[in-house]
This record gives sequence, C-alpha cells and structure tokens, in this order.
Amino acid sequence: MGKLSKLKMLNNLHNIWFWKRLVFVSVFFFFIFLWYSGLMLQDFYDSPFQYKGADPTYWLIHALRIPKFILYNTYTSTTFSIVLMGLILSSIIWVEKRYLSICAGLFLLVYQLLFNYKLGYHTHHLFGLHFALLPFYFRKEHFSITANFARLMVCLTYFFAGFFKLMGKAYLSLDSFSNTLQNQHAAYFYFHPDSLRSQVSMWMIAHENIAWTFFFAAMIMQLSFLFGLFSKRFDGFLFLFLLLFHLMDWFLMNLGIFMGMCMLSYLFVLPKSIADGLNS
Amino acid sequence: MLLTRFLKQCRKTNFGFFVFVLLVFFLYSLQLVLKIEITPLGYFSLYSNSTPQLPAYIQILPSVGENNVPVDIYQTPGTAFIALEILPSRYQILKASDHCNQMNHKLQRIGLNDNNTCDCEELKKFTAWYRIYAQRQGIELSKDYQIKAFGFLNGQIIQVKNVE
Repeated sequence: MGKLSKLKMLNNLHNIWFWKRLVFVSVFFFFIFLWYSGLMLQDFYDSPFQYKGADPTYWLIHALRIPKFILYNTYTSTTFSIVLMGLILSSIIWVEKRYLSICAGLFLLVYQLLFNYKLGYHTHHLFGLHFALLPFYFRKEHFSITANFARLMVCLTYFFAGFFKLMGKAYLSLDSFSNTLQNQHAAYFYFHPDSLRSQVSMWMIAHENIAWTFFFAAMIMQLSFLFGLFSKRFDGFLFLFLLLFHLMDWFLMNLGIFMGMCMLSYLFVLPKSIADGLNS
Repeated sequence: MLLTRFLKQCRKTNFGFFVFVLLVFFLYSLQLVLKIEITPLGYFSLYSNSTPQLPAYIQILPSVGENNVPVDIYQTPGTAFIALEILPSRYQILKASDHCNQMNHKLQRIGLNDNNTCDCEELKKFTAWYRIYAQRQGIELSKDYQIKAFGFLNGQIIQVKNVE
C-alpha cells in the first residue's frame, strides 16, 4: 500500500462520515442476506401469528393497526422492504442527510416489530443494529456523546447476558453445555452428520469438560463488559470479545443470524478525535 | 466512573439527549423490577439455566409420508432454516398458552390480561400456511404433510410424536 493511500485511510478513520458509511453498508449487506434467507416481510405477511406477548410496543402497533396496513398483501409488504432498503442505500449516498438515517432507523424498527409479530416470537437479532445506528440519528456535533451512550448500552447489555448466565448457574453443571449442544443441533446432526459443525459439536459433546470451558469462557467474556462501564482502557479486548463471541455463536450454535451484531464492535475502536471526552 | 462522567457530560452538553438517556435507563430498570418485556435485556437470559441430560432432544419438524420422514429444513438458502425451525415450535407453544399468549401470566402480574379470542382462531390456519411458507423457501411439502415432534439423540431419531 502506498504512503498516500495509507495516509488517506488514516484520515478517513477520523471522519464521522466514513464510520457512518461503514455501518450503513454493513446494515445494507445484512439485509441483502436476510432477503436472500427469506426473512423479509413479504415472506411473512400472511402468517397466522400476531404475537404481542407482554411488550407494550407490540400492543401499540397492534392497536394502531400498523400490521394490517403494511402487511395488507404481498405488494404492500414488498414495497415496505424496498423502501427500507432504499432508505439504507440513500443514507450511504447522501451521508450528511440526517433525516434519511432517522427514517431508515424507523423503518428498521417497524420491520423488526412486524417480523417478530408475524414470527410468533420476539427475536432480538436486530437490536444491535439500532445501537450501531443510534449515533447517526443526532447532529454531527453530538456524535461523541451519542456514540459513547451506544457503547455504554452495548456494555450493559452484554454484561447482563453474562450476569444472567451467572445467576442461572448453568456453569455449575459440567454437562450442561454438552446437553445444550445436543438440544441445539438435535435435527441438524441427523441431516448433516458429516459437516464440520456437526463433527466439532459431537466432539465437544463427548468431551464435557471442553464444552464446559467454552461456555464458561463465553460467560467470562460477557461479564468482562462490566469493565467497559468504568473505563475505555480495555476497549481493544472488548472489540475482540464481541467478534469472537458472535463468531463462535455462529459456528457452534448455528446462530449466524446474530452475525449482524458484529457491527456494534465499531463503537469500541472509534478514534479519540471523534469519540473523545470520556477517554481515561 | 465512566458512566457517571458520561451522565454529567451529557447533562452539560445536550440536555434533551440526557433526558432520553434517563428514559432508556428507566425502562431498563422497570423491566428488571416488573419482569416484563420492554428492552432486549431479558432476551439475553437464553441458555442461562442448566440444560438437563434427556433421553431424546425434541425438535418439531414437518414430516412427510407414512414412515414419519422429517424434512431437511437446513437445505434452505442462507439462514432461512431458523424461521422454519421456530415457527412450528412457536405454534405448539402459543396454541397451548392462555389465550394463545405465552406471556399472559406476565401481563396479569401488572394488572393486565390478554383475553382476545382471535389469536387462537387465526392459529388454526397455521398448518396450511406453513406449507406455503416452506414453498417460498424452496421446500415442497405434500398436502397431507404433518407437523411432528421428533426426538433425536446423537443424530438418530429415537421417538416421533404427533403435535396435533
């Protein structure tokens, strides 16, 4: 790489628009993947589920008859998906237009709510996208404070994931994670016994202590996000932990749908020049 | 502490955003106290509890033919299998729940109650709709297909039970 292009790349890292483009491009490709996987609203519009659970947000959209309007037929739901993708793409092209990012964020939220409503289960694979996009909804001058807030929320959420594991005491049973793997891949082992995932998981099931170590390591990784609430000194580690956690989540648990959460990792590597003020 | 420094700085520089931050923290605290779904926090309790060893691990799958042959939902593009996996399980859970709302007991805890009847009525269309959905994902299910609970262990089918 030439000196000039290296310098240009380093300069880019100090530019908010570079980060915004990077995050929105990632979101765009993630939605291409969801579209390819048949997980858009046009695939679910006629589902018999209308699950609201105990979440007031779902009751609100149900009361406002939003699902009836957007999911009226295949055309309305496909139009919604196209507009959503268009807004994400527009936010990449017209990077300085904040209202486009806000609209994209709102559409993303509506997509998530309607998807869960029609799936009959409140999945959480998209919440990370909201945290990743949050700093770009506000004025450029406030980027530092909003990015720091998003970072703190990520730390809080991952810490609680570890905390619940600690309280749930699954780590006290040596065979718990082996059984979790059996449960997670019950049918997958039957259909694809020779795949690498099956082979590795089977090996871990047979070696309970190794499986337990993986589970314990994941819990420690999540608990370590507590340090992120106190200092930014460990952000390099938290960045790696986040990526590693979701990579293993995909490989070991076959939860590739959570790979979108990796986008959050950018919050831990923002240069001081644009996310300053709170560095310790 | 970074968190307190953040709140102080936030209050000084952007009071509107500070109010937003307090609102978010309030919602998170409310969820912890009331134990209802508001934020993504509760969802992360997944895999927290110990998974016991079982004689067979159940997965609900579409089945074709008289010999109870499960359909391979993992051949679908991308991560489509996840919905094909979740949908029949949720159908079974919700159908067996009070007014087809698994969280009704949590609503009752805060003095609310879901007593609608149309959710259960809609669920009756599930089996027919799932066939259409599977077709959209490239899986052809025959008209007389059934949803069954398969018990697996180490990649072998140990038991098969009817869901309906």
